[in-house]
Amino acid sequence: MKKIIKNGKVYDGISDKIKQQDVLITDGVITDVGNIDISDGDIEIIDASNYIVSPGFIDIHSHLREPGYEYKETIATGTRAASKGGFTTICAMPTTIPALDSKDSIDYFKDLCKQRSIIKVHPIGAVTINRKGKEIVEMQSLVDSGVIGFSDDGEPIHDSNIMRMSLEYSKMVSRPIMNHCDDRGINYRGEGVMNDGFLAQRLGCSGIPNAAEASMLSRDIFLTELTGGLYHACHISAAQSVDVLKIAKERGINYSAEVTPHHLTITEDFILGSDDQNREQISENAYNTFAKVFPPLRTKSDIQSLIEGINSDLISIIATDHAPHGYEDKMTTLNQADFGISNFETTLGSVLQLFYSKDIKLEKLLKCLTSNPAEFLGKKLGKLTKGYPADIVIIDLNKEWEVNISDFVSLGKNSPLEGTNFKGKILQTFVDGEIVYSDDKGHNG
Amino acid sequence: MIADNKLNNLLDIDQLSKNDILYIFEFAEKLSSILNGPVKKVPVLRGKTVINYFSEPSTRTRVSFENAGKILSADVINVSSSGSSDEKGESFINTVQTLESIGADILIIRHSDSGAPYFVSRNIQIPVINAGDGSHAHPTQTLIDLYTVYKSIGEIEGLNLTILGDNIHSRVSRSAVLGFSTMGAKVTFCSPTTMNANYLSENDVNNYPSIMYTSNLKDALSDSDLIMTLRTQFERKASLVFPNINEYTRMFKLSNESLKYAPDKARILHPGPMNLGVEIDGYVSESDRSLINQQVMNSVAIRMALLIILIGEHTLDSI
Repeated sequence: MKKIIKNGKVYDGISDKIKQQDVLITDGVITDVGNIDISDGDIEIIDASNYIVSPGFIDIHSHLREPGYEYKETIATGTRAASKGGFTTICAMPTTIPALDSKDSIDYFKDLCKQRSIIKVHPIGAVTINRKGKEIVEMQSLVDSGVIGFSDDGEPIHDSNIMRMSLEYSKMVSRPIMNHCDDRGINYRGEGVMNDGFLAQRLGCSGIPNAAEASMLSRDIFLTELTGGLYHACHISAAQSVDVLKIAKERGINYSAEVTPHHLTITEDFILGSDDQNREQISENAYNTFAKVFPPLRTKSDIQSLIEGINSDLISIIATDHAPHGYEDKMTTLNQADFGISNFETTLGSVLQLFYSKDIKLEKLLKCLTSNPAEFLGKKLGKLTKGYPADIVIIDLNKEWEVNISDFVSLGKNSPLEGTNFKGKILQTFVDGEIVYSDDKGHNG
Repeated sequence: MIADNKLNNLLDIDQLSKNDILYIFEFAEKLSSILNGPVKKVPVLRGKTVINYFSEPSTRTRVSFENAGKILSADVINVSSSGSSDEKGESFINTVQTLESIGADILIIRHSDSGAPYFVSRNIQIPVINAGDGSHAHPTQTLIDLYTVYKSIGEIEGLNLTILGDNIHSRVSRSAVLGFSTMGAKVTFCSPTTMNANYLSENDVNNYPSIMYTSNLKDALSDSDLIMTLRTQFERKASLVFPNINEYTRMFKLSNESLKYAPDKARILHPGPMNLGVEIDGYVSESDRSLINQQVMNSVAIRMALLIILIGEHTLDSI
């Protein structure tokens, strides 16, 4: 079965230029990219004139919530939401019940995905048993079961000996340790609910200082230098963290780092209300739990540093940290509410704002969503070239739309972006050459 | 102005202008005559139901709201989270929505989480009064403090207020900054550096008052007209923010000795409850310079005024 995507503006994940090309797909695999003459009559033609054709997005950091929290999200709803957002491969954090910390739980999770997922899902194993930070998991056996990395995400690895030993061990199992950097001591023993600073003090809330993230990241970076281990920094949010990465790069320390769409685009002011960010008059919309996320939304100057971090390749991956929650998890006070934003369906819209504001080039944004995370995974993904699986998205850059949370496919309706006007939308998502989602017809299966 | 446009809730002092605050004072002044009269009961809020929802311990705030409601002939119901369905696992929002459905005309809320009254206010239709939320705000206390100063000193404009103690965790100090600045006073925070809300003056917000900071008691008191000592909040994270009570007391307690640094005219406020011997000596709190008893006495009139303004039919002229 052959298909051809004709006349698209193709970002192939290899060249830094977008070129008008055709993409030929045979039995789910890309068999040619270029200006292709179709003489064969038995071929399905997909006209992509005026649209961007890109490798499907790859998310190395998401929460699917199944097993254990099926009221927040399931593998079925989460992967459908992801495909709507242009993702063809996602990696699921082990923040499940049971935690993905054993061969059995990984095998069970993969089995569930086989039955319920409509895209490619790779598990991330816990670093420590039950993410408690005490004993390291059987890392090799988890790698044998298919984990792409290790993280206690949500639970920073505090014990420096655990961090050091897992980094040492990571060299042997060849998969990275992905740490959520937050020093609980600096973060009021873990009681912080938002960015530290004027707004936190104005609202009487415990703040999470940038130093909580940057100090643990520095420890990790120098432990990486010490051990030569494989290290990945999750969701960098603070300007100081970008400075730490600069030092790491200067010293030739190998690491990778990700940033989320929300840390790149919105500030702590969203705590004042999604459409009511007036610092001079605190309205009843303040203490907006949909803007409570960990690490917290920061400031404009942090955003500027993160953008520079991407443009100077200190940060090479955009990851969603898709963190869906149920109604009651957010329908409470800011202190009590869970951390997290439902992100799959707004990621492209968010990051394209940076393209339209001329902060980051389109090619760079796509690279951070496709070939860079593919390289992190070490898998044959994220490129439109001969022999690669036909995981492809077609994007209408000019399509304007408004975020309506009730339209979310994700069970997690927790987004601070309700009512936001975006420009740029996924038209079609292909996994192994088959359409799994299209903007006009919805999901296929 | 709230005399013309009805106030829908009272979440913090930043909703009120100087004229609004003076209007509330005028109301309270009129109501004081009831409190001083032979029969302390008027039918102003007859048929209205006031519900006090307190999820934190409170004596003076709860009782003074209760008394304010009862003097105005409202039916007052007290709900505390212990002994309520909170203990059965009901969510906070369901509890307050239930109280609304049962027929509350107004909810008075005390909660340990900053912002809780904001969350409640946007999810129910009836007015909400913030009776203290976490470390955030305590607007009725500030109105009482302002009213007390207004009655005993007069003009608030130009006064120097020193707030002494743990201002980083204090809802009283946060609302006081807004209220006293609105009335034209200048505010100085004095506390150990670990308890100073120093970000409050590092901002780009035009209308946020500027605050002076010091950890030197002598400096803080030398030019004070008003000294407000805050309760040392052992139950909040106080354990790590100063070495021990002895050192705190030596450096920051308001005593006859430390008061020598202050001008003779300086008057003393305390929102209560007091830890006598820790942040303030009994000699000071009971002295002629202390306005602490007046604060408590004025609390009922201010809260009566607020209840009428929020849910009553009367205006200043008809009361």
